[in-house]
Amino acid sequence: MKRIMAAALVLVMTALLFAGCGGKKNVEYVVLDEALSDEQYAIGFRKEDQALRDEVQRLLCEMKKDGTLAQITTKWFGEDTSTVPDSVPESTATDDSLQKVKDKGVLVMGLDDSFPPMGYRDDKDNIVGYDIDLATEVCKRMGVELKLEPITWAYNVDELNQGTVDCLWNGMSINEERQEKLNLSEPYMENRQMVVTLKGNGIEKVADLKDKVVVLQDGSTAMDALDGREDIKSIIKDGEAVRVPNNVLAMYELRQKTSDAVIMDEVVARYYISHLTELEQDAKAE
Amino acid sequence: MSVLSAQNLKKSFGTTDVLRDISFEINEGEVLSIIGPSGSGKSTLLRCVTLLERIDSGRIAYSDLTMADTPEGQSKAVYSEGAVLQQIRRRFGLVFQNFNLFPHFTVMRNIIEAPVRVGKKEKKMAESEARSLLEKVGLADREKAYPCELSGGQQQRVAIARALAMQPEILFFDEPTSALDPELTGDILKVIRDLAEEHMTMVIVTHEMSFARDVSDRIIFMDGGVIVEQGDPAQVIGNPQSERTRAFLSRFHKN
Amino acid sequence: MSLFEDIARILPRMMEPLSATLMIFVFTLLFSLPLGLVVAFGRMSRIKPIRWVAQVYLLVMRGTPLMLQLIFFWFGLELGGAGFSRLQTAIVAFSFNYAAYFAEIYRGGIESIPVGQHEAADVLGFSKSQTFFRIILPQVVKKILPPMGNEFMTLVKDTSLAQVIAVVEITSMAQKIQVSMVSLMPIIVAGIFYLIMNAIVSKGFSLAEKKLGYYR
Repeated sequence: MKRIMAAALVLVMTALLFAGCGGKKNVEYVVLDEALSDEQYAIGFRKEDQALRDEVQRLLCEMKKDGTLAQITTKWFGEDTSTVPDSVPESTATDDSLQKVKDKGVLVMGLDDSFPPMGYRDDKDNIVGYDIDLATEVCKRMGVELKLEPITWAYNVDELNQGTVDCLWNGMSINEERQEKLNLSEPYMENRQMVVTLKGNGIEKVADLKDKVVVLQDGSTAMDALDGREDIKSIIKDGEAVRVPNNVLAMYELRQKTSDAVIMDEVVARYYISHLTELEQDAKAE
Repeated sequence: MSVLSAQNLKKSFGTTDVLRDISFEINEGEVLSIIGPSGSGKSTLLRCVTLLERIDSGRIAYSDLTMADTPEGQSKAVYSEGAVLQQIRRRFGLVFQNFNLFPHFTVMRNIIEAPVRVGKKEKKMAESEARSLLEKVGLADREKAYPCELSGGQQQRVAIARALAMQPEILFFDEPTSALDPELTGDILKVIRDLAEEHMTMVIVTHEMSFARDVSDRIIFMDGGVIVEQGDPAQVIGNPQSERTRAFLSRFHKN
Repeated sequence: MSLFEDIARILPRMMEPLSATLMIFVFTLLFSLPLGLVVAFGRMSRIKPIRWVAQVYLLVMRGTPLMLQLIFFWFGLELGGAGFSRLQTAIVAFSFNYAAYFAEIYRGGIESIPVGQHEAADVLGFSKSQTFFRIILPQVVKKILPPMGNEFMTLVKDTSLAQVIAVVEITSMAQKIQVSMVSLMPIIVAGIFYLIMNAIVSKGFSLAEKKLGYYR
């Protein structure tokens, strides 16, 4: 047993050494001004759950009117960038979806808990984020408890239809497929797919991606965005982006220069760049 | 009175007839040796009367218990129900060519496992009986050994003690010395000889001609699935009547 | 912010996912070891339809990726909708999958025991179950220890597949922390967890082999 612990310790030390060296590289991230695509975030419900969808929408509008929405949005993004409409027509839904949630006393929200700043885990393992704050407020007004259910995002529609969650609320971009399969709320925030690169990589506009290695998160809307831009997709290296499991790994690809550019949600990109820059400065200070 | 009687046994594997109408009996206290060339059916015969193989037709009975019988006018043997067969199993013991000791048990446990688990004998009692059996086969000091620590001859003697521990009415030996080096066979043969002196009923399939002649009350010579010749040892080995018996025996006399 | 501090921040958060990983490991073994024996008997059965069912089971369970099976149990059979938790569903899928591998290991072990052992037990009057549990199985256990050790260690690592149905186990937790911490360190910590678990498994098996080494 002692020997095992010793071996483990040696491994940790080696790992630390590598991680330590890596941190001392001096890099500066830039987000191109030119967006790859414009999209919008919305909340998804089951097709038949009209009453529930309408109630959540009504409460969001109410929050906009009394200033709560602006307050939450400013807390996370520094300014009110929300796009919730001022009012919506009164609901004419007759289904029992809202009543069911009220009877249960819980709204189960399906999310990918590794999508900062919309929803992610803090140091104490609480799931936090912009969408969490919004949903908490909505549930308070609805008189139900909010239950956060982390799911595998690639199977979000299956989770919804199976009934394990009541809604999908996690910086979900509107696209054709989701419009068809889900009952979506009105868009509540603008999002753009942006190109992130390193200063000195020689990429200043989207067209500069010619023959460059582009990396992105597998299953993300960045993939849809790239697919929608055949003009860009056809000029990047291999005519295909490198796919990695999450955006942190994508940023690491960029930093260690195995890739030249990352495509990701603008809100996510801003979060990472501020975080990574902080880390770089810490490393330099040491 | 006959301990075992077998009548008109027939057995074939596929299209090969291994036993062709074999009948024999063995009486209490008798020692019977079965000799014959390889493939003559003698081992199959032993396996049939010990329930390791099933006969196609004929009748096998252990004194008052019928193992299998072929009803009048039918061609297939019908076996008795399981409880009767289990009773029959308690009446005989079998010593294998390859010993087949249980490698994960000590010598002692190899001997007492069946008396305790099957015979429901008290463990202490089974152990003291096992010790006297080990003494009898000359292995009094090896009760804690594992089979892999014993020579082949010693293993076979443990196997004999294991069979005796169930107090069988009849003991079968299937070529008990064939898997041993020639210099190790003596101990085994001595044990069998001692048992014969105690009037243990035994059927021995063997290639040891001189041993068979010395120890047996009667000898059966088998060839091609039939009993070619039987009688007292002096007659079958000393003065065989059949040409096939003579041919078989001549191979041994040359050595 | 030093890297030791990083690790100190990561470790407490790994405890809950560690228990999920251990639960999958322990309960999968608890269910699949006996189930595998049943499947092995089915595979060796003299009754054709039973043998056929066992063969199809083995083909499907060993012939498709465990990850797809997890997805099938959760989304295809909708076990979630039927009241199973994610962890329970993962244990069910893992158990069915591992039972297939264990079944073939058992079968190999059982078939490697010389027929003479069965015959000796039969002649001594042991019942079928006595013969199996007292004579055959102990010898099988000794023979199958090395392949079983392999399988156990693979299971430790395979638990990470449960994240496909959103079970929060070590690997997925490491990725979640990685995302908020923006660091690779959680992945390294997760790797060390697996390494320690497998070192224990490996040690356990070599002790067991030593313990059963008293006979050949």
